[in-house]
Amino acid sequence: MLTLQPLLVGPAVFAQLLVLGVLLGSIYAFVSLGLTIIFGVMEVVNVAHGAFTVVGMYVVWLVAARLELSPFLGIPLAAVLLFGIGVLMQRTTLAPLGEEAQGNKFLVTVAFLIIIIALVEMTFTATPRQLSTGFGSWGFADVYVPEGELYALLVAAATSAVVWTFLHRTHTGRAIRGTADNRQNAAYVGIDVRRIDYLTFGLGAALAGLAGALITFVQPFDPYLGNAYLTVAFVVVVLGGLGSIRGAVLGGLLVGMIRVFGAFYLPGSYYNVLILLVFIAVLLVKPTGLFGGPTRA
Amino acid sequence: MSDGDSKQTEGAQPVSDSDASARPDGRRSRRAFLAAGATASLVTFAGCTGGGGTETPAGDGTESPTETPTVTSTSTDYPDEVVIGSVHPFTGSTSYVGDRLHKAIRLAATIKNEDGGIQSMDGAEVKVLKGDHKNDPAIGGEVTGELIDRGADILTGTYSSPVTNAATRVAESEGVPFVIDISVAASLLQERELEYVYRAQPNSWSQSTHHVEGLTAVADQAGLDIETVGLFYVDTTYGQAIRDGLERATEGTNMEIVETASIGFGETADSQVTRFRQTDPDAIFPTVFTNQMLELVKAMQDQNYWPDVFAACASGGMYTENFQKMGDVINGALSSGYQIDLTQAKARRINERYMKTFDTPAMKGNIGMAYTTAEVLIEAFEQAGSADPEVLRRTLDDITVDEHIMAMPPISFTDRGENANPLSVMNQIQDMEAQVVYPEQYATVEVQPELIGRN
Repeated sequence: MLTLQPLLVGPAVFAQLLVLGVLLGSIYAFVSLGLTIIFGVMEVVNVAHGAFTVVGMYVVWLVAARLELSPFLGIPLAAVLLFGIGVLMQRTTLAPLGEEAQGNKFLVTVAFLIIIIALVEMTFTATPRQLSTGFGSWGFADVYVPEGELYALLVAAATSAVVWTFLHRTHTGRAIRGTADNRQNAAYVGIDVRRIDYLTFGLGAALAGLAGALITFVQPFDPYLGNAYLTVAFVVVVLGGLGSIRGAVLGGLLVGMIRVFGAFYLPGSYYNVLILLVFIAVLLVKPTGLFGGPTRA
Repeated sequence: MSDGDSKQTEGAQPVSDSDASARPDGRRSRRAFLAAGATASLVTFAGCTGGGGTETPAGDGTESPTETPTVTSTSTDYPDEVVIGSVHPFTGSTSYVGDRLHKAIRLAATIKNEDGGIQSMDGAEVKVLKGDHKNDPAIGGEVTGELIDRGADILTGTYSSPVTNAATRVAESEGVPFVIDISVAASLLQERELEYVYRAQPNSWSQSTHHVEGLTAVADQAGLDIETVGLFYVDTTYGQAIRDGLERATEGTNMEIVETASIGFGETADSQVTRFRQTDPDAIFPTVFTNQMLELVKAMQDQNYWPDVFAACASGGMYTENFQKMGDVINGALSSGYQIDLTQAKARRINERYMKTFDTPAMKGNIGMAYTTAEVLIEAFEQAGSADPEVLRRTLDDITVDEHIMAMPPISFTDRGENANPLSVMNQIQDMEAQVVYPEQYATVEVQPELIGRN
């Protein structure tokens, strides 16, 4: 017997769902950020993004469970490690393929996804992990805000603001955006596009690692959790507009809201169908996504 | 190239095609991104990240990686060895369970070999071959066929009802007996006419029935009246089978299911817990894997919600290592399922050896069930005095195995191949350990009623 919830609920329940939707949506948005930046600048569909988030998860787990240090210390560590991995991957495998081999680049990222997940599974096994953070929740008038999710939101929001400032207020950031607009023209005006690619891929990977680190505050994880987030991230990026940071944020929040409210109101897993229906509807009305257009990143 | 590899190659094709539609300015189109995204989703869910059914040379009953077992005849016409095919997930998200299930089967073979092998076959050695189904039904069917080709006389598996469906179909068509160790969906045997397939574990119907019976008995002892129930299940064949079983089992009782919520892989349980808060049933029956159990308990704590009765049915994750992660809130909770009978000296001995041999936590119900299933297979060889599949099938039809380690009556099979005497016991978490509290004959401790509704 599958049950539907009544449409009208009390204000406390509605507020609870709203809070949960914002918290989950912010995670979705943050996971999508690196993916959309890399695509926006480099035109690379980085499937290894999901694996990068998984590495971030296990970095935090190592720091918190093995070294018995604060999990917060794992967050910058994950970002730095993944930045290095991203730059290395771009330099050694993607850049040598040149500008015209996007299909091959996609395959390389698929290979990295498989290799990284296999390595993580061999190293840590597929046993589900959960951080013993001792986080609780704050309650106001029967509306609860889980601490872990709140910290994740704050870190995600702060990092997103830093990234936005970097892209809009620094010389390098403007060079990245210029490259996103037109790679050839960027090269003509003296921007070192190869260096920008290294930096962009490293930045995208670092953001994925950061997102993975934050996911450990939110839910249990295993080497395959990144796959679920990767799928959501693809939906968010297309929904928000390819290469658009604003689109990733809004798309993430939208998908988070649909998932939270859908899981509350609808029986079974029909909320996943709802997400895809909204996805299709948005693309029918605005094929470039919510914020997609000629200017990206 | 393994099947998983083939999937990767196939999955990449649309992207190559879409490259042809790249824009003149070198930009890739939306269509290309969507195709890549869809392909990536397929790849990531194909479970293709692992190796291809590699073997672990153990010297204790497990066949070496590349050797095909030779089933040769001796002067007395008995083969030197008999071969069990173990079809389980060794890569993918459930590989941590598959590996432990396989180890239990290896241990049963090792112990039999230490005792001199199959006595009725002049001491034939018991070998175990493993096949990695990667949680993929297509691969499950394929590796089952491969194991038969490599000499498996009898098979067991698979820890996934859809995979078991495919694997048993192959075994049936090849005429090789397959005794299911872990796969709960009643439909596997109840809705199919199979001659070579048996199931040692209780199916979803009997587990649900025992859950309701056991809970009613324990609630009576505790003076609790459970009138409303919420179901929380993982949205897979396993979860749906138990959900259907519980709906069936509660019919005609005073329990009414007032809420049903599901969860998928990699998802959070926050909205579902809000649903439970809204409906506030007397009891919640979770049927999930370890990940979702941890997530459920976390989400319930986050929203400061706990029902009067938390009673997991046939659920993963309800064991000691996880109780520490869940916290003290889980103490007193109930959990039903088939369970190793630690009141027996034999069960305690096997459990100790399992932990020592493989440096692993204690046997859970499903690990004990895999061990017991292997004992059934070995007993079938013993009673049959043959590795001939047809003789083994006839033997299984009439077999009775009463000296096993599970909290369950003797194992024999019905005409449909189901365990004729299935039993799921009710556990209570006491001092952060799962202890059998019902039925009395298998109980290791008495139920502590004050703990059940204390939250």
